[in-house]
Amino acid sequence: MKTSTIAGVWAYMVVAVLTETATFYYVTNVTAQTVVISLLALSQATAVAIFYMQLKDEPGSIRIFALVGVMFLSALLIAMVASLG
Amino acid sequence: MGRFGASFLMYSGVLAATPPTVATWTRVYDVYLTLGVGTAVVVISALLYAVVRYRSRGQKEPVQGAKQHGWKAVLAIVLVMGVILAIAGSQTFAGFTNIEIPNSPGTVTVSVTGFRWGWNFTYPDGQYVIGDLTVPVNTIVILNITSSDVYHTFGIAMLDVKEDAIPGKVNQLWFNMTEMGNYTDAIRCYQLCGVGHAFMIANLTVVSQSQWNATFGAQKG
Amino acid sequence: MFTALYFGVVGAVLALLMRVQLSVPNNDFLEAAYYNQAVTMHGLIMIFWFLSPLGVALFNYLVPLQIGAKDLAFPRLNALTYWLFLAGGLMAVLSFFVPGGAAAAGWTSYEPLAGPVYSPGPGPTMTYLGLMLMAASVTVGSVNFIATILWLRRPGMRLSDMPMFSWFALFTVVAMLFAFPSIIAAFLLVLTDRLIGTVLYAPPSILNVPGIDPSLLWDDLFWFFGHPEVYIVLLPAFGVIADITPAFTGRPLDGRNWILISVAAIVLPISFGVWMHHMFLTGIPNVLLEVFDVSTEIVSIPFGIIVIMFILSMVHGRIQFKTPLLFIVGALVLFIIGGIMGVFLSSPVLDRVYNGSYFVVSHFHYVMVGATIFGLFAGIYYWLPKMTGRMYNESLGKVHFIISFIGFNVLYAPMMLLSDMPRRIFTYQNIGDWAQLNGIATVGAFIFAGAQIIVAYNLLHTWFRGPPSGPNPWGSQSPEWSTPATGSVPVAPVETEPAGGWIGQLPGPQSASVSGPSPVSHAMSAVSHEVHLSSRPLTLSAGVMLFLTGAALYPGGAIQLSVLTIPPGVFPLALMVLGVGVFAASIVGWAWDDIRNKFVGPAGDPGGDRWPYDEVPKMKLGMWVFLSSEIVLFGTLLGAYIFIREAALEWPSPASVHDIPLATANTLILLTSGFTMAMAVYAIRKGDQRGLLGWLVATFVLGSTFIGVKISEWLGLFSGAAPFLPSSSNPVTALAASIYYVVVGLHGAHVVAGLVVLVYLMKKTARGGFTKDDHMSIENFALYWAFVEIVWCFVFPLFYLL
Ligand code: HEM
Ligand SMILES: [Cu+2]
Ligand SMILES: [Cu+2]
Repeated sequence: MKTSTIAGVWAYMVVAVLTETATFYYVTNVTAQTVVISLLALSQATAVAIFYMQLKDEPGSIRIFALVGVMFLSALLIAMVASLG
Repeated sequence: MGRFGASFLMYSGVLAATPPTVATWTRVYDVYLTLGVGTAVVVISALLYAVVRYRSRGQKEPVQGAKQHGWKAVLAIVLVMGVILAIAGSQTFAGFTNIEIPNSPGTVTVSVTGFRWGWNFTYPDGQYVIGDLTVPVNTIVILNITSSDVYHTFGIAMLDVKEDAIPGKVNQLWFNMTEMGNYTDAIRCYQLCGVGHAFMIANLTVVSQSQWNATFGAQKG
Repeated sequence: MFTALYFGVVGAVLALLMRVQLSVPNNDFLEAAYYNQAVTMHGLIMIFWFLSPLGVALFNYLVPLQIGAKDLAFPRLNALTYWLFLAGGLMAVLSFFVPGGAAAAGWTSYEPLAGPVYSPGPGPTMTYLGLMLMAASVTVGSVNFIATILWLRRPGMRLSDMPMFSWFALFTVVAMLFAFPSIIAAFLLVLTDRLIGTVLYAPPSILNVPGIDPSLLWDDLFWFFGHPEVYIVLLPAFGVIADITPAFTGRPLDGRNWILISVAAIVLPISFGVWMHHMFLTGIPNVLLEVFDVSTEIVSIPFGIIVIMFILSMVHGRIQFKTPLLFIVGALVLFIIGGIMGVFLSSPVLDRVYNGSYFVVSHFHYVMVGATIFGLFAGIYYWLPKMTGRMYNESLGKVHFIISFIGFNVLYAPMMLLSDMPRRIFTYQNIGDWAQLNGIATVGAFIFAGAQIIVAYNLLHTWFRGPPSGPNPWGSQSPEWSTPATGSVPVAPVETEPAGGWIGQLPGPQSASVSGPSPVSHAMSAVSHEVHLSSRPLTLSAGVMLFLTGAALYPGGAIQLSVLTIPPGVFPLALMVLGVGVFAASIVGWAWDDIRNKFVGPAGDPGGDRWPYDEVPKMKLGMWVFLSSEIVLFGTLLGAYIFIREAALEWPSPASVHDIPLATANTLILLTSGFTMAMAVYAIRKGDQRGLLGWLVATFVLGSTFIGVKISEWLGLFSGAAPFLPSSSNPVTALAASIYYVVVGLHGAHVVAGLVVLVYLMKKTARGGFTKDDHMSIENFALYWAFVEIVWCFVFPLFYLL
């Protein structure tokens, strides 16, 4: 991995966090706020996973561990919230 | 087909007409029982037959060229089980009437609160009774069940109805009792709730509609 | 293994006590409070300290033999697994003797009954802490097994060549890996409630927040773990059946690959998608009833495939009626019965009768005791000659089987009919047929227990006096038999022929050169022999145990020793301090061993077949496996938070509580430390040791700053104008503060742990311990640190902004 990639990811993280906070202060519509902030958080996590954790260079056999975990969690979350009725 | 279990033995002679929840439950159960016992008999016999039929008569050497079943056998298993389960499942779905709360006029509603260790029944007129649920005969009764402390489960075994009593949440169940009478200890708690769990029991009393209306029916204004 | 058997005996005694109590109506042999403790601890001990570990002990012994590994991938971690497991078990058993008694809320620990309000006292706390140690042990253990199986197979052995038992071991540990984090999360919340006074599962009488429903939260978290757990218990037994059946039928397994595909389907997607069938009565929406009814029915299809394939594997064989075969047949019969009962339970309509009744008790004993224990017995008899070099007594084995089978059915069949009797009641009135059925069951219990005396005698007798069995008494072609039998009878090593492979388990040409792990200690217990090389895992576990025991007892009452009185709090505090001391010493020692390379594992890198992992170093594989369990841990906690947020009708607005600009700045600091850590990896990959040190120091400084800011932020929250505390008089604030401190605190703890490791890495770097080609620890730590960063990417917006 090149230094420029590392720095680039970092720059993106900084911008994303600042955008999140800005959204918090300036976007008043709750739904819009939630959607924007959640998407930014997801994108940050993905960026770290792909670049800093180098998932992009790992074989699929490694990726699968992360993916399975995330998959189960999504199931848990959806059903849990649904069980509130 | 017969019902197993003490509630059946206990009250089968008492009730002339089968309450609707029991009828539905038994209908679903009969299907499951037929399919379940059938499957068990077939599969277990096949196992025992295979084991006995192919017992060693002194041979010690490995058998050569035993058959390997492939995707066809698997597909057959999936299809057969799929059909069995689909029949069973569709019966259950049809039996959801036991769970869905009927939306018809003329029902009565009683609030039930589980506490350590007993049941509190609050009637439409606001009065409450501990340890005894009185309902009118041949009427759809809806219970709003909750708990004031821990997790309990409210169950009337003779009517095949049961629902959790959870703090901070109201769950509903319904039944329609077809026979007047005093059914001692018909109501029990089915969820461990502490040392008094075994004694968390209540009676079910079924009275005539007019008598019930006179005693509990007045809507609290 | 002996440890597991010991806990098995404890659990069995509890069960017999209960059966005596229930043998006749209105009995007063056991009081309600003791009965409830017995019923709870019986469940916990049998599941967590007997059944699962028995399977794992077999893995520990056999998997290395079967795949030709010298030992597990991480021997010291294996020792840690064992000691943590033992420490947890001791805490759980000791909790009987502690004020408050052992946990008494059922093995399901439903909330709020299991919380501090309704189960006060240090006893239950201790039980649950013991459970946490056990869960930690399981996580460490599953990482180890996964890495071993994926990475340490002998050359030439492809994954698909692995013996069935090792395959089932792999599936079991994968299920453990993803299931246990959620129980850790669930019990973490229980324990913070009990120890620190958070109110996460508080009942409405304590904490009245409209919409909040602690029972449902617990149900979801517990059963998301609980259902996979029941398969975790079962799978080792099925692995035994799949592995050893061919030795008695003289023909290969039928449909080997289909069996494996079915297990994969069960373990991975399906078992994590059926948990709400335990919640059919909780008032969840009807669509969920329907979805989970169908998903539960679907899970029975792969089980059907497996069972039919086992039956087909008998056809055209030449079946020898040896004890293991009898137990296999018994296990299958009982599983078929229990599984079909499970299908009854999958119907939300029928469950209106069964839930909470003895029918459920009957169901799960058919599958857990029937299928699982009978299957494991088959394995124990079968491998006993391998472990001891001696043959057991065949007639006694058969008698054991017959009496067990009869006793089992006399015990559990009556419970099928008790579908209107609530479970876990300590006594009952003389109603209907309850008295007769319970009486019969108790008789069955004693028959069943009596049969186990036979096996105990048979095992001991075999061990010391049994006739030599020869190296391969069953004529099996499976690789574990190609090494000399272990134990006291010396036998000459055999040269195995690369056989025709009719079992589909090719021993491979190299098998003759494979040597098994040091056998005696393996056979004696689940401890790897590497335990002799390092005592750190033992002291570390002991330290944790002391600390937690102290924490559970704190503050406790005064202690009267003949003359002097020790005031309350002193003794537990002393335990805690001692525990921390021992723990810290072990950790430092462990790291110090590493820095000086004192610990030399079993002969370097053995090389081997590790497709599809040939590119991935062992440590890194282990790290990723571990991180995937961490994903589930944090995910479950964040899930709990989202659940609470969705349920609560009101919630304090973030800006009213937190200093958002400060938190944003702190987030930037942590993210920047992620950047410096990535640069550290970049530096050492180029061989730049000074660069590495510099970036590590930068990471350390940034990480410490993050924690420092966090501490000052928390101090502000504690003492602000309106303190943000779990004990706050405003219920919504109390709840919000509780979940905030737990999740953010756990993240903080991960950062602090990372800082500790950083100290070690910097020290080692300064000594020139890392080079371009040898810097695995750095790479792994970078993974960990990035993971901590990812968690914060979610924590920050979820807790501070939304
Ligand atoms: C065909 C497969 C199976 C099906 C369809 C099935 C279904 C169910 C259902 C629906 C319940 C919930 C009953 C209730 O609480 O009302 C249940 C409970 C249970 N099952 Fe199964 N099951 C199956 C196999 C197994 C296996 C293999 C095991 C363990 C080895 C197992 C262990 C348990 C346990 C321990 C409980 C009770 C938990 C408790 O409430 O304490 N089941 N099962
Ligand atoms: Cu109860
Ligand atoms: Cu389940």
